[in-house]
Parts: sequence; C-alpha cells; structure tokens
Amino acid sequence: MLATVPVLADSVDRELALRLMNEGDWKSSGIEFRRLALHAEEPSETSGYLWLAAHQYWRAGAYRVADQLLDESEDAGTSWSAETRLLRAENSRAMRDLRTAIFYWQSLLNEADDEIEILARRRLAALQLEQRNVEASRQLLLKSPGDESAGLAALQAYEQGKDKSPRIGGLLGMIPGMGYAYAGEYANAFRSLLLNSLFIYGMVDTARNDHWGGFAVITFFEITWYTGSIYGGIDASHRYNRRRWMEAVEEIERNSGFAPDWNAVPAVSLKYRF
Amino acid sequence: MELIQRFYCKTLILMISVLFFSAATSLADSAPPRNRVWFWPATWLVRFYQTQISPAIGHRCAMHPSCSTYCLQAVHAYGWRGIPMTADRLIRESDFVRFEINPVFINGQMKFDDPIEDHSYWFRRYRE
Repeated sequence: MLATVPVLADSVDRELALRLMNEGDWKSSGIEFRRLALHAEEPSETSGYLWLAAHQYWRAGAYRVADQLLDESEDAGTSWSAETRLLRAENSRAMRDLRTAIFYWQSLLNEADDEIEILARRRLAALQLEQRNVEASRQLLLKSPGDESAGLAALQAYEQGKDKSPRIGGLLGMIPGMGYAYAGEYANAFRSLLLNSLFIYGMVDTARNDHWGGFAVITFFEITWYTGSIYGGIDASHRYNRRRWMEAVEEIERNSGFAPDWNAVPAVSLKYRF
Repeated sequence: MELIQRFYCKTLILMISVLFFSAATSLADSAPPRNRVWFWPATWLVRFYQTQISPAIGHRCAMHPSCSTYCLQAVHAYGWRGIPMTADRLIRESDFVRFEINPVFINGQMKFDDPIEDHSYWFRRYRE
C-alpha cells in the first residue's frame, strides 16, 4: 500500500507537467519535470525527466537554465546522446552562440537516422546562409537524404537578388525619405519627406516672424526627424537585407523541427516534423 | 537680408550645441546610462508624456513595446542615438498596422511586436 504512494505521486506530477505544457506554461511544466527527476529512482528516468525539463525551459526562452539541465541530464544518464546534442544545438542557436550550434549540428550529420540528418543539414544550411556563405549552404542541402528542392530554389533566388547597401541608404537619407525609398519603403519615405518639409517650413516661418523660442523648439524636433531619416535609411537597408535572408531561411527550414513523444515519457523519444 | 543672417546664425548656434551634446554623449558612452547627458531630459519628457498625456488621450500605440517605452529603452541603452531611433519608429508605425507585421497578444489586445533589438543589432555589431 505504502509502496504505491510514490508511484501515484509521480503519475500525478507527470499529468500536471503535461497539462501545464498544453496550457503553454512551459516554465511551470519544466519545474514539474525537475520535481519528477528528483523523485526518479532509475538514472535513465532522472536523465529523461531532466531532458524534458530542459526542453520546456528552452521553449520558455530560459536558455541558460536549459543548458544547465542538459548538463545534469548527461551526468545522470547517457552522455553525448543524439537527443541531447539536438537540444543543445537549438539552445545554442537561440542564445546566438552560433559556433557551438554549428559544432552540435555537425556532430549530428553522421547519425544513422535519416530524419536527424535532414534536420541537421537544414539548420546548418540556414546558419551558413546567416554568415552569407551561400555555397556551403548549397552543398549541405545537396547531400541531404531528403527532398530539398524548395530550399535550393530559395538559395538560388537569394543569390540572384542583391542586398541594399546601408552606407548608400544612410547617404540618401540625408535627403529626407530617400533612404527609405532606396529600400523600397515608399510609404515611410513619403511620411518622412512630409514631416521634414512641415518642420522646415515651421523653422523658416518662425524665423521670419522673429519667434525665436518657437524656432528653437521646432528646430529641435526637425533635428529629430532629420537624424531619424538618416538612421532610418541605414536601418531600412538592414531591414531589407534581413527580410531577404529570412525568406530564404524559412524556405530552407520549412518549419522543420522536433518534439518529444509524450506517450514515451520518461524515455526521450523524438518525433520529427518536416 | 538681416533676417537671413539671423536665421543662419541661430541655426548654426543650435547645430553647434547639438554637435557638442552628441560629442559629449559619445565620450560618456562608457559611463553607466544614468550618467549620460541625454538620459534625464529624455526620461523626464517621456515620463511626462506617459503619466500626464497618454492617460488623457488613451493608449493608442499599436506597437509592442509602445513608442514611448521604445524611446526610453533606446535612450537608456544607446544614449543620443535613441532620438533618431524613436523618430524612425514613429515613421514606421503605420506600416506595421497596415501590413499586420509580427502580431502578438498583450493583455488580450493585438499589438505588433517591434523590439529595440531588431533595430540595433547592426550597430551593436559594429561597436563590438
């Protein structure tokens, strides 16, 4: 009778962890998985629960905690498992530690499982493209066991397109609105031109009527709009380049990812999505 | 003729003042944000808007964070550069609403997500 109490408590905690996850409260779900890890008697169970907790923390954006939990998971059970490396790679990418992310994805290229390799190749291709290395990205996709025709077409389209120069954008921004127009943001260009024209008119008018107090206030705001036009010209070029890059990355990755099989808990078994 | 001379003279004085403040803040960039020249005037202006004007006219910004919060974040993080960043944000706001870019739900209201990091990553990279 007494021996069944911890088992019952475990199943209640597990149910709660899954419910919290379904409600989108990933951090609380992670806490429940950590609690389960503390109760677990088998090292493999402890390791599995810690991995699941790390997964929830990663989803919640608590990347440092996720990293620490993965360390604990490896200490408790199997180290260097594909599942742990996969989550480490995603976590490192989220932390913008691209070098570590590339290291883990590369380590997954030689896995026997084709699905892991497809996912690793897509993520690596996206990371290479982030570093503007189009050829390396293409080679990764060409060797993929999956169908990567859409990603390759997106890469070709990206290569044929041209980035906007932030320097030119900034220089053109000296003529109010022209920096935005250079990056194809015509509505913003019109708004910038209109605001600058109005405030310059205000400056001239207040000066003509000897209203130097008003002139100082209007000039302060005009300086704001004018410097905004220059900054906006540079930022609009960066926005254009980033949008172009993100469109290509989305086509390469095509919403691919992974999620644990919740029926197999506490064992970590992954389901892939392509 | 006299008017034009006075106009140019005052504009020049204003420009020199702005350049002086810009240079001063550039030199003070290594100091904590609270010690920067632009920190307090910009903070007071925005706080005045947030506490006295915004409640009266209603919270009408469709973006997340709101334009006033964005201005505070920009000035606190990047000093005087926060001023043109805010001007750029005000110019871009209509596009976000029109094309429904990055919609998110904040307190049950649909807003359009536009964090400061999306517009400062490139000059942070240059600074690093």
